[in-house]
Amino acid sequence: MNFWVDALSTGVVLGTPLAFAGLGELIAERAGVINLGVEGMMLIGAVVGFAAGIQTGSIFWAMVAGGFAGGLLGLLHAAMTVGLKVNQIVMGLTLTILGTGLSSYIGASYGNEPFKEHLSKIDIPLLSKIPWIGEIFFQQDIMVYIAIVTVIVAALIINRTRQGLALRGVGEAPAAADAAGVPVFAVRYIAVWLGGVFAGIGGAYLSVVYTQSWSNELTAGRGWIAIALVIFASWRPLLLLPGALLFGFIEALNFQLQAKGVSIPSQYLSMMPYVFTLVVLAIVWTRQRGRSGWGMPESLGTAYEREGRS
Amino acid sequence: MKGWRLEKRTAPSLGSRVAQPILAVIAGFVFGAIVLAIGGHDIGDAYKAMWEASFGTGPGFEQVLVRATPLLLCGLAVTVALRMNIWNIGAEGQMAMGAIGATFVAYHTTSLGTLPILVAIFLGGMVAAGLWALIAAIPRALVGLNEIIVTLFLNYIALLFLSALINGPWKDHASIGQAYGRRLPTQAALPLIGDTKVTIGIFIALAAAIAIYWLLDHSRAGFSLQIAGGNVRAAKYLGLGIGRRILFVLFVSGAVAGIAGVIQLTASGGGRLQEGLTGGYGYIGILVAFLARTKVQAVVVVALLYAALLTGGTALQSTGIPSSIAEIIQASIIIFVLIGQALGSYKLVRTAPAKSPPAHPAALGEAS
Amino acid sequence: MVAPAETQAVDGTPSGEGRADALTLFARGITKSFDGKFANEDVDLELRGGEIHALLGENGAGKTTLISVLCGQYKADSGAVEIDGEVLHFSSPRDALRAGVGVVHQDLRQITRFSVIENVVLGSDHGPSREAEKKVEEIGKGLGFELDPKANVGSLSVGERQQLEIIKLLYRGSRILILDEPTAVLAPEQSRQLFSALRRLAGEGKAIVFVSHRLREVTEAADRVTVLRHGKVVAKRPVEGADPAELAALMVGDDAEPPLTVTPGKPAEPVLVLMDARCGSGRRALTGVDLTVHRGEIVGVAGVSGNGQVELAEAAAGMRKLDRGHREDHAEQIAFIPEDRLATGLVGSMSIEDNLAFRRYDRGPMSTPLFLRRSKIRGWANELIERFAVPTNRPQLNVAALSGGGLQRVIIAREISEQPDLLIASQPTRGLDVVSAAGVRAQIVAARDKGAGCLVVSEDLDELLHLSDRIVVMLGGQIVAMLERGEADRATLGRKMTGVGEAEVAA
Repeated sequence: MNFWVDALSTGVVLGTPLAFAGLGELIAERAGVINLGVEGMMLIGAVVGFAAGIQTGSIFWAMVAGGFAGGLLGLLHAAMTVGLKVNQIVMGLTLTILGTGLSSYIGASYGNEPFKEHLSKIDIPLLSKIPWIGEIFFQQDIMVYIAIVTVIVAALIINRTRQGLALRGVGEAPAAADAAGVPVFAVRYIAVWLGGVFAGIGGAYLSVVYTQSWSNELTAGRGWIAIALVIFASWRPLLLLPGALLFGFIEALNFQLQAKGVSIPSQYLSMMPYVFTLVVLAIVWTRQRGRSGWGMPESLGTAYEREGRS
Repeated sequence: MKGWRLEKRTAPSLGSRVAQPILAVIAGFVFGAIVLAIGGHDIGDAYKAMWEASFGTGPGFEQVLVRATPLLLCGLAVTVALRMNIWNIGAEGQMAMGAIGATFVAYHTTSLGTLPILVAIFLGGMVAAGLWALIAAIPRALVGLNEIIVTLFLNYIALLFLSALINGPWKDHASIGQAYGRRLPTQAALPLIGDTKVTIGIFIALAAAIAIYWLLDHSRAGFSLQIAGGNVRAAKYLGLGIGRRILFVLFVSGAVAGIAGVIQLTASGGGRLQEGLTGGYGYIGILVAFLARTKVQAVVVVALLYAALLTGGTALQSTGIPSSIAEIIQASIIIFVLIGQALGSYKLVRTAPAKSPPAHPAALGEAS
Repeated sequence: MVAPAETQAVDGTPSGEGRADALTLFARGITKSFDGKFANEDVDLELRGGEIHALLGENGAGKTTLISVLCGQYKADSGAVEIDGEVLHFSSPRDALRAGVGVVHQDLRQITRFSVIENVVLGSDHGPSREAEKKVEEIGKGLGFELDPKANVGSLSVGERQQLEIIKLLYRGSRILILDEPTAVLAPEQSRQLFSALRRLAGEGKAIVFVSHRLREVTEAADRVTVLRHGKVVAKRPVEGADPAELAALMVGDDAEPPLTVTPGKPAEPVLVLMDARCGSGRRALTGVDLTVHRGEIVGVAGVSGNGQVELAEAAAGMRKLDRGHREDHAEQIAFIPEDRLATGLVGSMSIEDNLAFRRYDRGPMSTPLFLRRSKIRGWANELIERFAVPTNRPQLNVAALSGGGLQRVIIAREISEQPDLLIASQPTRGLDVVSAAGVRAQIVAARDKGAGCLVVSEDLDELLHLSDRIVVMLGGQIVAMLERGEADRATLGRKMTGVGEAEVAA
């Protein structure tokens, strides 16, 4: 039993950066902009967060710095795709290259220096005593709790407030939202910027809390998994949490199985998030027509031009 | 309402098409110089090293051609699909499947001579890669499932599968350290050109470019692809089968990327699967196809230039400059070109100052 | 607090004449150009509370451009808008809404995945709530509309969606309501309902503007009219006492061609037979159509949009398979001129010459088994451009650069040059200027006279009455009436189109 509890508990930890980056990507995509630069933004958040952490010795500032750096790349993505109407896919891939290069460059000066501050686990009173569940969910570090709360708050905002309605409106039909007085460009800019901020925070968590070190391979494709996560959750924010847990759990399981010398090659487990996502996508796609809140935002990937003539 | 506004052109001007990419590349290098300067590196040394490693010397140019080969093929692969408005983000995974398919065929045809075995593995690779692409094509053809998402994720599945094979059933037990697949039969090696380090793969890539140019711009099939991609209803009204064309285009696209995978397999390090075989060329191919606006002639040129950039980049390490700078320069060049393309499709139009409103509005009932 | 205080509604008289506190919107010198061509040139418009103002002009006169400027979507090159004496600059639709200007666009900008209430509150200061829903129901009742706030917009009919737009604007406190071609998608009875609602609103002091190219509507429903032609204002009149003939002449100017004299066709043997044709589902379906089209005749199809006309045209052309029933044609060559040109009949990303080559590119002389022969494609394009007066001198340019009239000429050129035996045209002159429209009609008649059987679906009843040898009326996916040339008139058609019984309806 301990094996499973350990795996799930580690899964929660590994799922946390996924949840952050996934939330950011979900917000951007609900506004209609796809960001394929998440991997680069996570990396830049990781390295800048790490650097800030080393300089200040504070995890808090590391997170802030990481989010800030990710946000800068996010703003660049917004300026190019929303402002200049550059193709979103091409720009996203370019930002991954830029983010990888920049982070590698900045990180070179940090070599193998470890980050000494350790983010301790916090036990939630009472809840952490529940057998098994307690250990998995309620004995984690504060960033985990922040991630969960942030996702829930975001879900409430997106689904129940007028700002969330505006976001969703822009993602479905920017022309209709514009005519209704929603500031479409501002909404998209903010959404894409937030996408970068959260990706950066997710990256900073990896470097400063999880591995407490920096390396070029730090994110190891988690940015792409975050993109998969959004689709796995069918663009519904609350479903990001179980999805992140599942994907994190798979990764944790992989480690533990390897450690035990089990003969299943780790690559097949690593494929599972993508396979699951494709299966979910196939199921939801054929049933999504017309149901609000399920499925791909209609305007995803397209730029909006106010003076476009029909 | 004073000032200026941007208005979209109906056709980009000729000047912008030619001058703009050149200016953008220059701007990218200028930006790179700034980055180098900030890092305290010698700009002259850096750029000189990059030049010598690419166009400046014979061996350098050879390396450029070596890299241009898979890059050109991936760019062509994406271009084929893009003509029908289909985004094949999966060239990377298709390359991997091409290499895997070729390896499989090679392991089972060890007794054949050089030419037959090469033909066999290329066919095997193309079919494997093409079928891999069909996994995304079929849902797209049947229910319109977004191919961007599917091809993207199939990349990771393919790359992980490659890794699983290298570390598993096809593992070369003789190798220590990095894992490699077992070597292919020695005949399964692409011959080199003369005494250069360039294989005839470059000719295969150029031949593919010519074939695709014919297909897209000078064949009936290509014409019908453009119709089907540009306007599904118009295509249906002409009786063109859309689903068929989606499957065709993605299969061909995958197969072309598969060729790149086979060439990488047989050309680098002597015939065996390895991690990193695909080298990111599948993703860069997307950028190449887009920057070239899907014109085949431009794809060739852009692929060559980008390959030079890549080659020059890896050479930087020898001067003590981290190769990540090369990535930064690459990204900034692309960004400047994209900015250039975006600006070139708009023009500035002056908005005149407002006329002052007259003193009295016209009285009701007065005809003008 | 949702709706702002409304201007004083005193006695509901339609005119705000002489009242000093009445709402006013003055637009002065509005100029807007695209690619060097003026869509609006120095346009003045005066709106007053309590009045229904009509903006009259043929297709392409610049009415929609002016609306887009007034609602903040387009930035004018020059000119100013003054509301209640204050000069305002709109940099976005948001500004216009805040100033009280609301537009019901032709394309009904709504989010079909959302509910009615979500569409209403989108962009406003509050989210969806019980109070908002109550307000929506209240506004609706006041106008005679019945909409369920929780209903999904995708499930509403076009008329209901238009009602939603109006409710939305009133909810947001619009005092100036602008409707762009509101009756294009409505049957005569629904139009009457709409105009009576508008009259009610005018009575409350609002300024109402509707855009139209139909003179009859203007004279029946409006108090004042501004006539646009080629982007300029050519007349501003009160409707009472204005001479319709004069307005028509102003609208069309002196480049109107004399109306085409259409000699009756000489129907010969059948070229298309539909028996009990059924296809499609839901509201857009054919539910049993029997129709025969003969060579040498033009059969017109009338009906309110959404009663199966599109499906009938597609089924007749063989583009749509029937679920039941029988289709038989004796045509070697079928020409299809679809309703939405760029969306169906052309490929926007291809050149003019490529679009002209659609019908022939796959055989000689334009292609050999291996190669396309570009020189032949170019030659054919040049020939068609000259024969059909397509307005371009560079066929290698992208087809999307052409105007609506030019696009239609490309399609007509391509289709008719194949000497069709059966010609099916859906809304062939929609959105075209008068000259192009006349040209299109002439081509259809010419095709008929060469022996083709023609099926023409059109929302323009005058056009149908002019061209058709026979008119059939569609309602609910079936043909409910067939009238010979001379038997039909607007009133009769209107009744049949809406299924009103034999009771008299005021023309």
